[in-house]
Amino acid sequence: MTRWGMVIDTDRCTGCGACVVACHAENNIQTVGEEEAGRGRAMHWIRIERYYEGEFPDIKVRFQPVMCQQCGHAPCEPVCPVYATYHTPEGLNAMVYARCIGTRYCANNCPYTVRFFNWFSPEFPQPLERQLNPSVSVRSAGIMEKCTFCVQRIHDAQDVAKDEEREVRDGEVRTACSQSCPAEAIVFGDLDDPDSRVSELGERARAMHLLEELSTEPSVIYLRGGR
Amino acid sequence: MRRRDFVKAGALTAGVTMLDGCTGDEEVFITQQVRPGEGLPGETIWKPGVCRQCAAACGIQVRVVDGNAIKIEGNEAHPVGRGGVCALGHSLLQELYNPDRILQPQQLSGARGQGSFQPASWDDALAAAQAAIASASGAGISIVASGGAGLDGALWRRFASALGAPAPTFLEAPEAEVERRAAQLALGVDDYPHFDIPNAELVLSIGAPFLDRWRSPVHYINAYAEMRRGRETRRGRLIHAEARMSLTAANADVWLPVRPGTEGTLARALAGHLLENGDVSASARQRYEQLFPTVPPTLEEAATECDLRMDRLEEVAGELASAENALVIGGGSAAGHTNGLYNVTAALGLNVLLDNLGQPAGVHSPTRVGLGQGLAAAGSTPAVTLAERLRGGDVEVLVVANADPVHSLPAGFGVQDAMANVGTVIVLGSFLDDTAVHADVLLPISTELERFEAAEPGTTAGAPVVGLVEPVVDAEGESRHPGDIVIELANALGATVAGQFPWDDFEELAEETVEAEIARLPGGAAAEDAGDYFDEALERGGIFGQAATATPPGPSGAGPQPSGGRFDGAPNEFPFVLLPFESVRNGTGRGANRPWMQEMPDPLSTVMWNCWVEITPADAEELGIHDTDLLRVTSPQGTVELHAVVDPAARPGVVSIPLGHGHTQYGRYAEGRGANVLDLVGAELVDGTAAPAWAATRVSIERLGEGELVRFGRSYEEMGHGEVIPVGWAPHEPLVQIKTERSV
Repeated sequence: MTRWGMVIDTDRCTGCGACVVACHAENNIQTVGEEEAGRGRAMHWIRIERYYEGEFPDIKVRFQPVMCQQCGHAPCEPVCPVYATYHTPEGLNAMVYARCIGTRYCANNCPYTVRFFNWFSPEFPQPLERQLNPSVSVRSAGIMEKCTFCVQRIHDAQDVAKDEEREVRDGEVRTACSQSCPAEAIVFGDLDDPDSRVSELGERARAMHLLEELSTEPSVIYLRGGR
Repeated sequence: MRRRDFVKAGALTAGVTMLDGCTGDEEVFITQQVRPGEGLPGETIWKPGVCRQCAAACGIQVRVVDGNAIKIEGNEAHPVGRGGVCALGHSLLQELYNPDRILQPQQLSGARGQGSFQPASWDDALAAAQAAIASASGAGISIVASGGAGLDGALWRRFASALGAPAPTFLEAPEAEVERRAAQLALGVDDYPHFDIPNAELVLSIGAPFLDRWRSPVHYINAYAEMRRGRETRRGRLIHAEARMSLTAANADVWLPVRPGTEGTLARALAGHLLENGDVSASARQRYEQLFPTVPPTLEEAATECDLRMDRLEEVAGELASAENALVIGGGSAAGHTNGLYNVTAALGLNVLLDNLGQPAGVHSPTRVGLGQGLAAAGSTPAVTLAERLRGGDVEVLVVANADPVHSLPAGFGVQDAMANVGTVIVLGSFLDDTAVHADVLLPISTELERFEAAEPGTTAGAPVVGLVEPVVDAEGESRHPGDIVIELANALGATVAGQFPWDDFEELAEETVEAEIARLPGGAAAEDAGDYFDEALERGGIFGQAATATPPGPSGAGPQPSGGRFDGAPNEFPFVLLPFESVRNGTGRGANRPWMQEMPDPLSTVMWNCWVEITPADAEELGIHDTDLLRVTSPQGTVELHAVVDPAARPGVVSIPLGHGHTQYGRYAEGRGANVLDLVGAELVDGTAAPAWAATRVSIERLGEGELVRFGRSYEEMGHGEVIPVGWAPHEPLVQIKTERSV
């Protein structure tokens, strides 16, 4: 059985933010404007967290890209009263937008703060809407959304593999963040395949989970920086 | 089938399609309706393209569905980008489909500079432009374009030459000329060299912010990541010397917050240490001493002058001397001081001592194709000379192509006020920007996704490259290829000029040029058929040569005299040194009109939708400044008002402001946001060059009151001092911390 996962090498990541914009472009994420962004309503399915350590001149900066960790024991799932967020057999925390009634319980229960609520219906002044990805729904007001591990790309690859009567190959599915990353810091693949690149990288000594003590069993593995 | 052939065969195909339609054969009908390369309704087609958002000119692949460009990915075959795309590159789609884009020719309808235009036909607009050019003297015409490399640069040079006008001004990054000159002096190469970063054990960067934007963010980030983790056995190290905590500094193992303007001293002192303690060959020593015959400063002297801790400096010097494979990159703000040429020459000269010229993990000669070099003589007019001509009223006609000199040149050059002196301003552009608002005639141009491209990147990749691509999507509105506009303008300017532009359009020019120069193009000598060679290049996304590892000849004479940086403004009146910098958010200003880029948080300050001043907590406290306060920043040149970001990593006595904000025009997303830091920069030049010294200004800071600044994370003050500071999105507690290090 496939279990989709991701490995992020923070020693490769420079914090350039290409993934942030790639995700907006791929997933039809709305921009909310200065005023709403000031209210904490900016929607970034993937964000670059920046940490300072020490004081000038011995100050260090670390970057950490954070998106939905696609938890194996996801705190967001049991609290949804309408089963809009659920666990797929392939390990994704999926969102059924049509079921979501916007209670925002899932966002409250997410320890990684990676779920975003659509306070307004998105506006794409013409002709900006021509860029919208036809493979991804545009979410309207009242709907919760978050990183999907680019599930549309997974489905595309699965369709092609099915037509060709074979399994999806390792490296065939690349999320938008992974594909765009100039540093090749983000690797996506099947954690249940022992020969996959994510499995190989995930077994390295530098591997860790975010907030491992919460036992959420994330599908995202970070490789610590070398500093 | 190529687009050109398709268009030629268009009428015939249409006839056949109608006939087939009448026969009722639906399958044939549908097949015939689909244009070659367009795909079925809803089907994804990937097409190669070239990104021209900066001079790096990365190769891209564009996802096209139903004729719309949906997504940009990198072209893995392209030696510059190698499959990556930067944030600005992605946002090209929001330039293409920008709601404020100008898609019809415009002519001035009121007083110039007020922004009142009326739509015009192409015939009328071109006739007006042609009449203005025809009635001007050749010497009275000035041309400004965005980049001098590649075929489009060659076309502009030929146009200027045909008109008898001075060579065009190409608005490249201001430090580029200084870096190029320094490479000539230190390494004997005629352009910026290629660095084999992935194989280096140690990279020392003196001023060059190669992980920010600089020459090619995608190329250098990839090279850096390979240096870090591309090898199983060892992790390469990065030492970065720059007065600002840039993204490059943030990723370095050791950051040297050097006093601005003393980067050359730092490099020379490190050279002195190498000469005394390193394993330097006699020939390397001799060549280096030819470049810098004087005795270098000691580490103690450098520690004082550069205001660096002695133990840290010794550590770096020791590491450089003992590293197996080390290389040194120089540029960026080190090139923007008045002594920039000395700083960068001293930095690059370290490679001579490290004996890495032409070596693996070393410095290699630049390689380029120079497509179209037979079209016109090389050369360009420096921006400062253009500004003098404008101010002196010597310009009868100013042609501006895909550039915004009013916004992107220092205020001290006086371009904005001088625009009133110009007889006629002809702008080829997509937006009503700070320059286009002064236009008499505005000719809408297609973006790089809508036009035939023959783009040549800078020399970063170390391989000869020309991005050669057909239009990815149809041109929006009435926009036209800028190259086609040049050819059309030339054709109406009398036989002498027209005769030099015999091509129907830019695409034909590209095809003929490739055919004419095929023998010296990568793989061209072995090509059996020029047409096939051209078609294969289009399919691939360009002509890509192998990485070359030619050895730079090294210095051939003495470098610039050691000197300290001068700063505009007296220290008692203007106590802070101003460092403008390029943020990954919008580069030098191009990205400011796109909502994705405005809402993308700056990775360090986390600011969205605005511009800011970075100031250290100690200086902020002394001036009573708190985070987000509104400040007035004053230099001898001018004044801007901006919000404070109290930055724990800022160097005391230095304030930094990102470039590219404060557009007075440029559409709904850009207009009036923040301030243009170049409004503070005077007319000072880098010694020995014609490049603006953009990092040679002193400023004073005054608190005006409280203010609001939208940030994605939380501010330094909200977090408390001296601890690991988590930055989260939501107004929750800082839950995400790197505190668990158990292996999975």
